[in-house]
Amino acid sequence: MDKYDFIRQLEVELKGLSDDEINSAISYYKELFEDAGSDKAQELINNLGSPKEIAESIKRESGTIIVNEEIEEPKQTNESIHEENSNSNQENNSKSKQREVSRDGGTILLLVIILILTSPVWLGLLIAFYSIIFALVCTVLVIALAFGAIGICGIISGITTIFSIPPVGLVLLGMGLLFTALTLICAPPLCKGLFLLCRGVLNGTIAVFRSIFYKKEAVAA
Amino acid sequence: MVFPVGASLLDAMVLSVVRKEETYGYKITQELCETVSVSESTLYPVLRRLQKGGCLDTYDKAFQGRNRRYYKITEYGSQTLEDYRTEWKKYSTSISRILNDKGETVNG
Repeated sequence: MDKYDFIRQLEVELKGLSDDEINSAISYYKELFEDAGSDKAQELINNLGSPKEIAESIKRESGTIIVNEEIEEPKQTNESIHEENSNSNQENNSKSKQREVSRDGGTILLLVIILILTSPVWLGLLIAFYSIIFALVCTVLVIALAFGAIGICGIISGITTIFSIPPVGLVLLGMGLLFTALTLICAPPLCKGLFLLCRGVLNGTIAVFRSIFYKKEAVAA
Repeated sequence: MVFPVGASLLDAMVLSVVRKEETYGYKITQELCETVSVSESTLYPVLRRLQKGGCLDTYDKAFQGRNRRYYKITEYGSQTLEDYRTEWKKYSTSISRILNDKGETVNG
């Protein structure tokens, strides 16, 4: 057996270990042969023993590490099993739920970060949208209030002038009653309408945000 | 040699050799095999173990158109070596005390 046979056999015997482990061992022994030189190569081969034995000792060495890891892992699972056994089923459920929440929490956190980062865009649009709605509501309310004010003023001025100039007073009173009646007729549905509009806008925004999170949750699950 | 050389003793000796000078596999092998009868094949697992344990660092150096892997001791390795040395002193003196006790000075 020459050094090439030796290396080849060692490579075969080391199979099963990680590539990193095999490469390291092979390059070590190759180097050993190169440093020994051709005249001492045979002596080295005799001293080294069989590639099979070498491979076994390397495997034993890396094996002890693997065994240690294996021992540690079951310990942990045993502990967790004990914990689960000692805990009630309800607590187990809450545990698994908590795990799910924490997992979703990660995506939610990510989404929140994304939302914060993109906030200059969507926050501006949202504020603009809300401003328009707010302006609309204010305008309608102010018009309604003006109608009401005209009505009340008309009634008051009508009553005051009805005795001095009866026709003007009657017209003013009539106008005042008309406007008041219109305001009273329009006010409840108008208020209801504005209320529904505001609620709709709020629900809409909430629904948009919720859809973002729920969709992502579904992806994560 | 009559007495077997265990893993920790091998670790300690390899650390001591590398501590002396940064050196390569073949030289470590030669140095150790001269003094203790260990198989040359036992050195690789020892080096690998010390390397993984953070006691030794490696670096490649070009030598005659190829790479030679050099080993050098780390800070942690030096500490470990010092621990080994203290332990060995304790161990060897207590063993020596028993082995060299020829019964001439036994009191009671």
